[in-house]
Amino acid sequence: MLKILPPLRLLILAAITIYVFPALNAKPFSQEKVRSTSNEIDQLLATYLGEHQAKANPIINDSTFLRRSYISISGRIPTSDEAKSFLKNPAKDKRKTLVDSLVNSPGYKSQMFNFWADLLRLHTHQEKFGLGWHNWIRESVEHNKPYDEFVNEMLSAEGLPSKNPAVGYYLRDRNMLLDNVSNSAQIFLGTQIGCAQCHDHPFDDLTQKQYYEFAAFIGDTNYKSDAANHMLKRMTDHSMKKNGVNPPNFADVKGKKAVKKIKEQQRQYQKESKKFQRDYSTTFRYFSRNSTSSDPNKKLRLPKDYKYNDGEPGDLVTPQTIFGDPIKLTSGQDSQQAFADWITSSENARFTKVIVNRLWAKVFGRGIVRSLDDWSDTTKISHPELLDYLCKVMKATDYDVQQFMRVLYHTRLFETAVAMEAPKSSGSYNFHGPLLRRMSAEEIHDSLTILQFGNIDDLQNDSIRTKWETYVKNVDTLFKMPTAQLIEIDETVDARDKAIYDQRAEARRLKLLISKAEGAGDAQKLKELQKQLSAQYAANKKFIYKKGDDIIAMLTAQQLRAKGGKASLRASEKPAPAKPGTFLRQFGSSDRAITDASHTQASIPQVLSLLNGTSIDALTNKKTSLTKGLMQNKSSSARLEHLYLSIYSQMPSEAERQRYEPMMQNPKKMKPLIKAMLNSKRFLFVQ
Amino acid sequence: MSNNHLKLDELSRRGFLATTAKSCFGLTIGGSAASFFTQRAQAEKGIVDPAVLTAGGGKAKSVIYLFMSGGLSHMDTFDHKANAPADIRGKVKAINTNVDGIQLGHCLPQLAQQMDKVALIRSMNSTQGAHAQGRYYMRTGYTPRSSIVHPSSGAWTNKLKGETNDEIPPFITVNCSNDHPGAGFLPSQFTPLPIGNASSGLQNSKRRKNVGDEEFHHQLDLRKELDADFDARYTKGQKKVRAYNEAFDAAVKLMKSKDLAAFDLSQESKETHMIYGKERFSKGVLLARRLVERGVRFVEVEYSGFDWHADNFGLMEERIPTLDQALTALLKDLELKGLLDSTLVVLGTEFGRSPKINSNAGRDHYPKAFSTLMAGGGIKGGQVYGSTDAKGALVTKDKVIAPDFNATIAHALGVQHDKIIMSDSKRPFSMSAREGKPITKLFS
Repeated sequence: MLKILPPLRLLILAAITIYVFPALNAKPFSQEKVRSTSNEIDQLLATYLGEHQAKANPIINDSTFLRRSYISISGRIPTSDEAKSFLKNPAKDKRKTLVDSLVNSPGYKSQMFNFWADLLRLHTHQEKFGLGWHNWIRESVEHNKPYDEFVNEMLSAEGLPSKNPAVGYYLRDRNMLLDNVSNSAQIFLGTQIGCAQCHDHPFDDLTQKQYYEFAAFIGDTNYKSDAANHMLKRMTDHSMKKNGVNPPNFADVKGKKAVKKIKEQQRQYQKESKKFQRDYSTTFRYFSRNSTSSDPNKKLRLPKDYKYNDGEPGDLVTPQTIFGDPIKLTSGQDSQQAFADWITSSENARFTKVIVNRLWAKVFGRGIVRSLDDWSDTTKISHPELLDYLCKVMKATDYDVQQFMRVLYHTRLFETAVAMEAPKSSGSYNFHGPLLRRMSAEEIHDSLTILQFGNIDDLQNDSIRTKWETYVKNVDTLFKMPTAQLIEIDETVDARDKAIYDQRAEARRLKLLISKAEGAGDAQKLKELQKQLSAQYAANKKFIYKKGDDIIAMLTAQQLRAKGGKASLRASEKPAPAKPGTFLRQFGSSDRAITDASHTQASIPQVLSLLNGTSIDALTNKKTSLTKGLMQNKSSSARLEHLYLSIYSQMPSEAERQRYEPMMQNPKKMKPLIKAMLNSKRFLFVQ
Repeated sequence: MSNNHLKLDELSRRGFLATTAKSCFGLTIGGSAASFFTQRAQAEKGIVDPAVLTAGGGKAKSVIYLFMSGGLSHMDTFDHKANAPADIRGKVKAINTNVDGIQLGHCLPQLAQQMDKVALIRSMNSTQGAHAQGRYYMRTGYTPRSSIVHPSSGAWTNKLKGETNDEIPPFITVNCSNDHPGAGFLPSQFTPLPIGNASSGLQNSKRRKNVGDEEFHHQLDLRKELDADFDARYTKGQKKVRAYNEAFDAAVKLMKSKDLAAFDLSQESKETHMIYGKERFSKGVLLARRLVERGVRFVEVEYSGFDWHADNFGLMEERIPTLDQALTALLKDLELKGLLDSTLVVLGTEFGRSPKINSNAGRDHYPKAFSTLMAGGGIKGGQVYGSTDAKGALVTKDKVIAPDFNATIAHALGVQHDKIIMSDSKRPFSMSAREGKPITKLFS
């Protein structure tokens, strides 16, 4: 738990946490090791196929492999240049080279970030901590932090996000501790224990009591900041002293009357003190709730409506694991750390199995165990040896996800044609080929983005990092402030909160008038009002972000926000989740309400957007990278090649040349073809 | 609950729908698959429980749910305390209505003349005092959890009542905030179709201005041509692929469909527009009526901006008349069109406002007591259900919580509010959150 640290030590600590976390992972596998490991995986798959009288699908051609690799590994289609250079490359081992270079590309990081953010339900602009957590996840991916450390740091995190942004994992579910525990079990242990929150699990052996025992490891969690509380006390004491209210001195008090008198004094003192506390607590209201702490007096108890025989409502619960090795907590041992260590231990078989299965499903379209987060003791595993072997590989890499993925991308299976028929949703699958899948919303978005702007993989939304860094600096400044200055700030914060409020009311009023003018069709008035509103927004912005006022802003209700980012940024660089109705959401990007919620289902609004929306249409205007590339080529034949390479990552067939070359004479004629290609399933799906 | 039904439900119907074009857009946008479901739909529509009918329920076919987002002040509208001290009463005068003994705040003069159609509920109570949580609780009957999203009443209604036979999605939200729970854990076919701005209709449903009809069809043909090989390979074995083909056909069909007119407010007369009002919300209410007229089962229209922590009475004079006009227009219009008996009109909000006026002449969040109303759809008008104390601070009679409120909506439609539906995570839920009871006294 967070002890109250003097500001300087706190500063050093913060500095250490921020700058010294690049991980000490195992060395990357050698080429040889990668080859032998992926061969072993293919062998295990082949044995299974043999036993079931089935055959693996044939190896795919270069262009299919090229497209699949770019989309799967770097989250977007290749540019026409990238496609051309691969297809023309005569080297025999060019597929292996491509996979290795993609695994080390910024694109790999981008798509892994999307993967984790969806799994963890990241909201970039959640109060003050969301941005820090976003940044932390991004940096963890950037540095390829080993998976077990990544999870352990989140599960053991406590205190202020400025000191340890991983605490965002807990703040994400503030005041929903029991749900947070369900989520942890589901995400990291692939176990759904949610039912047992209210009653014994109907199918598994888990009881409600066991659920509470599991949650009890973190049952002492408080969602407020000890450090802020300490500052509050400092301010109160300061003001009491200044006003000449001194704490009663109990020394040398003798006699009933004297004791009575001094007790009265103490009451007065406390009353006075409360008054200041109430006033000052507003200063840290929003700051404090963006933090956790452990409260030794807070213990988890069985719920009021507990109805089983193994306990009474209100009974104290002792921490226990839900399966595997029990933990004996020694006195003074941090139970939250013990919880984190137990979950992420390499001895905890489920922890490793769940992640390798998730990553397998990410690469091949389906898990060895189909239901990625609903394992139980009775779960049937079609390829037990394969699963065990994958766990071994994961451990051998020291939970290096990048190396693990690299091995999977080197398998023969990754070069195999997709299954013609989708396997049944129940039952096992023999992996004679990966599954055909639609690109994810982010993959489609990013592919369209490169068609519009060219290769933009290196572009980052810097404000996510810089805004957070500024915030962290400001927190340090706040902690170093003399008490008198803190008290001054309190006044300003109160005033600012009110001012922000008034400004919002004014904006609301204008919006209402705009809506009225809109309804009345009064164009001139509408224009005038809209002008007023944007002036109002500009003034607000200036007011709220007045230079040097960062500390004040930090203490108000305002969310800590990054810039939305330019259109040319990849989906992973934009604050998340995307708003409903946006292209990303239409195509199934997660709303980040529950874990792993993105989808790739067809819908009519989606198709309407492909047919009539701006996203596709905009690609045909003359300023896009695609159009410029096309027009640089003078002959229809070269243009068609460029178009095919750009969108399908392949050369047109002879028949296609004959049919479509005449359409490449001018932009007007090209347009329907380009749009049709981007609407086609050949584009939307990954073969 | 029959297991058999559940099984069928989970595997065949849901499994099929999850990967078909019908999902995500309500269900039946014409197309061949429509008839596929009709039989099941009929079966599932079921017969309204006779007990429900005796209790006055089961008359409503559609719901128009007006959601006042931000927390509508009960003190200044539906539960005004004319005799309370000035620091509670505020700058509001009580006005009489066309029902003896029922008074409203003075910003609702038109509605006051329709009070014989309306049942006020003055005894709402919630434990959720923050906006997002309060909205969620009212819409779903459950408090928010971070491990599951519960269905909103519109999704429940369609799940329990079975599909409509119309070509428009059965659940539509207008102007609703980003955090609307929508279908929750129910399959995506129950996801509402969101309309942002009622005046501009269904997004992307018209051909782009720079694309001619011929060019548009040329593009469609080219797409099929380009996909010929792909289709030959995968259509047979892959539902996902078929789903895209269906979605394209359905989308093109929709673009030409007469039903698209349901979304087109320009087809309403100028007079009608005038009667409903000029604002965005008014247009949403008008759209709701158009949609219900064409058989849409559940339309939710949000009116936001009731979070009056400051200048409560100034904002009241600005915002409430819009509600007054639109709601009154809706009730009269439905009556005129003979739709009032079959359309339940509901007004809800996330919580009330504190009786005591704060130092900024505002009122703060107040979940302990607030008001809602229902009209049409079998509701007996001209009544007040429940009451609060002299300050509007505490419920003194007939407390109503969100699960009761939703159970009452279910009762009006004649669906089983306590029917258990299992989530994917195998947890049991019901529309009345397993504790709500319908307020049968509201029905005639």
